[in-house]
Amino acid sequence: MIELKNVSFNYENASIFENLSIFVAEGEKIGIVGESGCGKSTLLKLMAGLYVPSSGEIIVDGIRAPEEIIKKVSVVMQSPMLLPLSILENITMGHEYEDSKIEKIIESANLKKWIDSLPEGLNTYIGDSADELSGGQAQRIAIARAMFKDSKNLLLDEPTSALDGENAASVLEAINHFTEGKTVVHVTHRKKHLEGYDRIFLMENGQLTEIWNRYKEKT
Amino acid sequence: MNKTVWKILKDIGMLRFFILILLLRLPFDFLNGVISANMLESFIRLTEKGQSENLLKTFGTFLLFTVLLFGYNVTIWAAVSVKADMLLQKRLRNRLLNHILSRNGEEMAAYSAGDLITRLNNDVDRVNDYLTTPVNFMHTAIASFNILFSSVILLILNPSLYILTILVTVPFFILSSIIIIRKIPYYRKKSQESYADYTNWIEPVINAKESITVFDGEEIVLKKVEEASKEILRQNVKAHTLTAWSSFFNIMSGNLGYVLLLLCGNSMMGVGVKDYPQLLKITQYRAEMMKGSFIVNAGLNGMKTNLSGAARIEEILESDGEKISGQ
Amino acid sequence: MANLLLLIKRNKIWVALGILMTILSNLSQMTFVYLIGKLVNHIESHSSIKLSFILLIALLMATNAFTLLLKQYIGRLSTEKMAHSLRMGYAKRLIKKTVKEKTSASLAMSVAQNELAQANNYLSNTLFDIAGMLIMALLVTAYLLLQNVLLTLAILIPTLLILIYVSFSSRRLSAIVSLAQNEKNKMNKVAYSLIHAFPSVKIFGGEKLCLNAYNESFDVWKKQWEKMGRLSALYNTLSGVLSRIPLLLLLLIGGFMVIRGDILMGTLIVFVIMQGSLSESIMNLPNWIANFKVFTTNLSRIDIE
Repeated sequence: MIELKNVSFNYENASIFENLSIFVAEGEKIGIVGESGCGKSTLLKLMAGLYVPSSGEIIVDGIRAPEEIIKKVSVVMQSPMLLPLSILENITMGHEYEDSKIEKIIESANLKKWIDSLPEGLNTYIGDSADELSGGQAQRIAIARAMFKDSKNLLLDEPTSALDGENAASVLEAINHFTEGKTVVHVTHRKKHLEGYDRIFLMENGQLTEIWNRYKEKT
Repeated sequence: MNKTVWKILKDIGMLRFFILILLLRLPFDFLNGVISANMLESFIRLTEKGQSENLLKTFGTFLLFTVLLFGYNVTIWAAVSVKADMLLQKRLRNRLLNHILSRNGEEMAAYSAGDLITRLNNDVDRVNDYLTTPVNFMHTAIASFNILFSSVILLILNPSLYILTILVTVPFFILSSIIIIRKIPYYRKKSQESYADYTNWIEPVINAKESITVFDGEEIVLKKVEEASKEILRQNVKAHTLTAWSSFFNIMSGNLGYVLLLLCGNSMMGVGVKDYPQLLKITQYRAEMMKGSFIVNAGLNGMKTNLSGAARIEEILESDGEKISGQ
Repeated sequence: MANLLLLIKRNKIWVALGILMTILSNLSQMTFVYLIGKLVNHIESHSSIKLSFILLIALLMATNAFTLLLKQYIGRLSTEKMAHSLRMGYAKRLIKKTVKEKTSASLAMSVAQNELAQANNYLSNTLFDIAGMLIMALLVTAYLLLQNVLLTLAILIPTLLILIYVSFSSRRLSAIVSLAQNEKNKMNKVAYSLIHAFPSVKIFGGEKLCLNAYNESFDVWKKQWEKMGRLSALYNTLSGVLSRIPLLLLLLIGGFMVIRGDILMGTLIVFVIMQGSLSESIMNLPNWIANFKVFTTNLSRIDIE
């Protein structure tokens, strides 16, 4: 469950949002569309606890402190933000893991075929050779990382924006594998990526307007 | 002198001029050492003999010698060397630019603009540094000259003490300045590489901070940063350890040589050594020899770094290019 | 300064050991020089030198070398540990910044590439030498003052006067060096423009024009550089002459004192041996202070955990 109550946010003395409120129920999937630079990503970072609102409240699963909210969410961002570590370490971030869980994750993230083709498999270092990864491969590793964290709340910030059609489809497929039963907020400028979502909002002039509601079945 | 630099100097017609300024500079350090050694000897001898009336006169004499020597340095040497420095730079820069501009587009394509600019700006500076700045060719040549002449004087003053000096100084010098410090540049390079690893980690720490926070990756990232930082520490400590051992042998050589000279000189008093003031003078020439050896050693290492510039300049000068009229 | 104190505090045991070894090394060096003075007195008085005395000198010689080795090793290890604490402190601070603290990525990266790299380099290569020299200067001054106040002042007063002269001349010189450097930068910029414009130069046959433009900028630089060279030679010559004065004065005053029987020849030789390193460390003081200021400024810009 994610709730924003009268949230305002200023950045460098400019107001980005004023009194914004939204409630995302547990297990609900919502999409937010809007022009580039309208503040969609900022809104997502507020929901993730990465930014602190100037006023108002953000509540995720009953938690209000941003440092605690971070622990309750998973985020896939526009840029995969991989670290100079092995593929495995990038997925687990150094946390303990079970082989079976990793196997399942790389399968779901459409990474298995590629990783099996690598001489060092999951232990392949992707530090200096990060540029040699395709955008799709890097983004699927970022998705695998989000799968590994396995939070109930998943925030997606245009995860396919830098990818071509084929790669984007593969990444979207990977995402759909694990969004079942989760609370999802997906920010994108391509409405077609939001098929099957419960509600879709348009972000404009710092305000959210509902433009699709599956329950009301109207546009 | 390195062959490439020799060829460059010859190419631009500066070889004779450079030899002249080197010859003008050579006596300065040696004469400075001679003044120091004789000054000590004279003062101590006068003191020994209780000739207080002559102390002030000696003070004035050596002050005058010092003023004359440094006066030579500021007038003849400085004037000639500044002119020579500029003439060398002008001819070298001109020749280089001439060669670059006389190439055709296809020849130019072999080099990037940045590469050519580096040759014209930085590499000329490096050749100039090689020839004139401290811890490079000029100082190495002067120090070699100093070692040679101090050795000759020491040999004339007392052949036995000269042999003793060589026996104590040379093995320690080889051990400390050649064998021990040889690996220091390797560890320095390793340390620089480790520093690059460290900064390579700082970049994602800054730019992927949000991912690290969301996925609770602080621990693994800090572990990796610590590994890189500890590697810098390890490599630097290896280099410092060698420096420490080098200092150990240098001080041993310095102190042992000094004490042995005093003891052996004392046993020769009246036979091979006239008196204590002369013995003191011998220790001064020994000190000049040791100082010279350290400068030569440092100079040889310093020159290496600037030689890459000379090779890159020679590469351009060697290629034929039509001369631009008026040059 | 707060960051420097923090780094010292985090490595206090190593820093304390480094300082202790520096003091021990200097004490053993001074004792060795003191024995050399005694040896000179034996030589001067033509008295026999006992084997036990020679063995004592040999023992001090070995102690001196070993304490120097330990001083170098432990002292440098302590500053390396401080550098490690600085690197880790910066990384930890970056990682542990809370969401409420705003971080400018470009500023943080710039600090890592400039201030942090320079401060790290200073800690690794310079701080220990400066601290060691300062400790040495203090100990040697105290030791010489205990031996003879007048002779110590004969070294210190002219050295301090030279120090004032060196500070004045280096300030004047640095202004001219900066002017000469500006002209050199302008000349380098001309070279940059000429090479970047190479295709146009070839098409329009502007090679001669280019060389003339470059030579003009070279001549402006040359004028400034020659002026700097002449002035630098003058200042360095004067400081060279002046730097001989403490030793000359020491030999003059010391000579009178030995003749009058106030001190022994050995004591004068101790002063002659110590004078060089003491004067050198005092004369380097302005440089050290300037470099130390740059270091603390760099350090103050680094946010560490």
